[in-house]
Amino acid sequence: MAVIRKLDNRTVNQIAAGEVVERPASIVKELVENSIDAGASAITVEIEQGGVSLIRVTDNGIGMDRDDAEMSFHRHATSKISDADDLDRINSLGFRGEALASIAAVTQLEMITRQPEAVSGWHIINHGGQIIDISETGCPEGTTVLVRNLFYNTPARLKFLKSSRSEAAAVSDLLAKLILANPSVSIKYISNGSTVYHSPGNGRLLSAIISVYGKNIKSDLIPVETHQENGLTVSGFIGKPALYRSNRTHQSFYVNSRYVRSPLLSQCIEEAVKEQTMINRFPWCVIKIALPAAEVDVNVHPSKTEIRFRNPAAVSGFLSAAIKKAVMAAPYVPAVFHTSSSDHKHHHKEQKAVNVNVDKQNEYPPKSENESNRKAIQEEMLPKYGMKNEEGDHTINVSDFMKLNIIGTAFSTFILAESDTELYIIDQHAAHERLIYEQLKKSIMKQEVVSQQLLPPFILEVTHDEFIAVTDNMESFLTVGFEIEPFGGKSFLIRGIPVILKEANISEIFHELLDRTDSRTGQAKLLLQDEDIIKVSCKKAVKAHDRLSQQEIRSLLKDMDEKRIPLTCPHGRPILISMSKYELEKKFKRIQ
Amino acid sequence: MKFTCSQNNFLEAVLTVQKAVSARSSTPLLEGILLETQKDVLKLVGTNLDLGIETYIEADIREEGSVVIPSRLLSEIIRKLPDAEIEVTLLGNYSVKIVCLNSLVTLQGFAPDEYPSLPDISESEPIEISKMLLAKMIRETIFAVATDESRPVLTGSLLEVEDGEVTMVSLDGYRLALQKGRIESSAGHRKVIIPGKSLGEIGRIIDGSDDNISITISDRHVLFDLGYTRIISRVLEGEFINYRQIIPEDYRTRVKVDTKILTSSIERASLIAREGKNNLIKLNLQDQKMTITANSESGQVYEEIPVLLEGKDLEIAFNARYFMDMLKAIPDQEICMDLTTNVSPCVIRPIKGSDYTYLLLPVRIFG
Repeated sequence: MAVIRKLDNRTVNQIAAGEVVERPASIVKELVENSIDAGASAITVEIEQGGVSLIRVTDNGIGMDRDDAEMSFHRHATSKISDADDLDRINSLGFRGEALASIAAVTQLEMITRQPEAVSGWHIINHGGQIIDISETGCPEGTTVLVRNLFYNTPARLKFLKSSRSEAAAVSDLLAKLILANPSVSIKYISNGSTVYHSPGNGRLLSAIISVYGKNIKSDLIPVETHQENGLTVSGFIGKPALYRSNRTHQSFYVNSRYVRSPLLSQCIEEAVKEQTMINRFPWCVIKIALPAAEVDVNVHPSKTEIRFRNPAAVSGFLSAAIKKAVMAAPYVPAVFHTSSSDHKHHHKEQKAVNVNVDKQNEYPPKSENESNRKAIQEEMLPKYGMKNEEGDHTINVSDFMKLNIIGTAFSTFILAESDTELYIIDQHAAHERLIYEQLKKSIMKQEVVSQQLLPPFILEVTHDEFIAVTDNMESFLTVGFEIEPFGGKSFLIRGIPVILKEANISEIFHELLDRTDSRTGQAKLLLQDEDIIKVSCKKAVKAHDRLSQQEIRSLLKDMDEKRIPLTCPHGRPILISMSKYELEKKFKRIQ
Repeated sequence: MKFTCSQNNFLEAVLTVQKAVSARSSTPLLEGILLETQKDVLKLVGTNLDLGIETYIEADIREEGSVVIPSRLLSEIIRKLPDAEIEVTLLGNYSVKIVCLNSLVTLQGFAPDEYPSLPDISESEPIEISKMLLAKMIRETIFAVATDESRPVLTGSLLEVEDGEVTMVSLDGYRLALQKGRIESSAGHRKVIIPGKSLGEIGRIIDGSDDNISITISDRHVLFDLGYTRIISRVLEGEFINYRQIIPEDYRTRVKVDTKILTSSIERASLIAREGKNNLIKLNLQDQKMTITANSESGQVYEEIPVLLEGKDLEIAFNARYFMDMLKAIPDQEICMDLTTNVSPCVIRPIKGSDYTYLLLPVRIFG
């Protein structure tokens, strides 16, 4: 008797749904991405009870005719690609053709859709993957999908959902990412009747960020913008150190407008701003990378948040250069009375629910989200967020220290200096330390490569991966002073080591170097040397409580002007902080 | 336990055995010195399990007994006591009363039962060597012992005895120091790797007298018997690098130079070289002279020394420190440097005698 049999369609769909539909947020993701792929310029997402009882996604996209609408519920039915070769040219967010079928399999779903040129639209009801009813209906152009009673037919999965509050939080998180990914689409998100986010969709990333993080974040952002000839573009914003968090949740990367999680990119950012990052803090960023579709593989995982680059070295090198450039151009001076708070909860309260649209069984969304209305929304939003308001930006022009009026020092440690509008407090040790550090680093860079010869040569056994890494980077190891040659099997002969290493443990250092050698760029970096330089510069610098004369202060400020140093000490602590005259006046209640 | 002895003798003994006591140990017992009466002498023992030192001093023993006393505290107290008779009495619960003239100190000690006993090494076929020779061998080679642990055998010095000749070799991958000496011994071929740390302490304990010291080698330990003091060190296991193969026989350039002049030239050059982080000096051998140059951000040095030069001209660079380590250690007035190329080892020997060999690896400069 045959034991092995083919599963029926319904079961197949429910199993597959497990991969795509994990929780309400995954449904929202699929539906919103479909809307974006349908060319919508305005999308409204409404959820109730964290999306378990209702999710409604309304767009003003191209809609579908009856046949397409029916077909869309079939597994692996998609308009986005037609054969495997298209996988190399994916520009749409979806392409697997699984989403709608999977969602339908575990929910009670309704779809109302009309193509712009069609007179009437179609209303399809699909429960648990079975189309129950198709009827012609009058409706706005675009597509609306209503998803009710998630997991109604798979109670086991229902049990695994978290509280509706945390499911709603997951949806919020997701929509924040989608808003940031699609600044030219106006996305409105309503949870239990109140508007959480509403992005203007004016195509500006900054507007999108503000609609998620609130307007106060603006002063803490540094724009990043670089193009390369072969179609690689990096744009976005990196936060100033005030925004740095203790985890990586606020690092958002978008590759070709798709949100991705990428240790490679995170690492790249962190490395680029390392010198101004304190221990256990992680930079905030919204970075968009655009590159030709063929240069990236998104078909790694159904959730598509993992990607592979064809040429990781190029991407990371480019990104890191872009970040460094941006950060250097915008020196950071923390303000004493900084009012910035970038958490979105605060922002929620600020924004009143503009367009309360509580769901009632059969009410179709009002025709508010289409083209004509969208412009109005944008205009209404722009001034509200103070986009042109430059106040609260505490950047100082790096070559202006000499123009400051030196008031004196406080506690023999902090130099006080004023400009017309700001009071600056400079940590003499941190400033001097940074100056020395930069100078030492420069002089070491200039030094010739010297290598202490070894006798007998050091035999280094490595793993297979390491063997390949070393073989590939022989040249680059030589540039720092490691003379290496293969010695049969998986071992190497180290004939010379960099002189500066002194009597440190060779194999330890070599392995450390190997770990830090960028397998992507093949650039061996003697970071050990870096720590050494920091130590030396710390010792050489004037200390707190060292009394500095006017002349010494002047020359310190002059050096800061001339050397254009990053305004953090090599350990990542700030060199100076500022207090504006306005803030002081406010503190003393001179102005209200 | 109760005994009296002179402050002088007691202090000297405490300082001797203290060299084997670790300053910090997870076992408080090992931070202490074992005092034990034996008939009419007092035995003191210090050990860190790698190195153990025991010494005997004359004392007037009134009551037998033993105790472990914290080493650092004991030595500091004895040092500060006047040069007079000291009376030490063991009270109950291992506290120890120390009386000297008008001073009375009570120290809390530990029970001696768990104090590790030093390994028992039967002194068969000991090697007899003069203290002076051993001290010289240690002094002139120990600086070349490796400090990093990547090649454990190199953290010790090889002591090798064969046909009445004793050799001590240290090498750390950057240089090698070798000192030979002759002894009256009929013992066969014997070799042992002694940890550099132990050897350093041994060097500090032995005086430069002409007395003999007997060395006994067992499988896992080496014993230095100085009569009243016995030093037992664990030995390093493994095969020492075949140093004979490393030392080149041929040379293309030979330089004879005055040690003192060379030393002060390198010292001056080093002042500038040190600023440059890599402590690099460049030697140019040409026209019967050696020029030494160094430069860094802080400045440049140029030194010129008359030398006896035979063979090819050569330009070579060294880490100044490795050069100075050797120059400071040897007493000889003139040295001879044998060189081949600027990336191959330089062999340095005193002009008189061939007992000492120093091999120094150059620094290669790219581009």
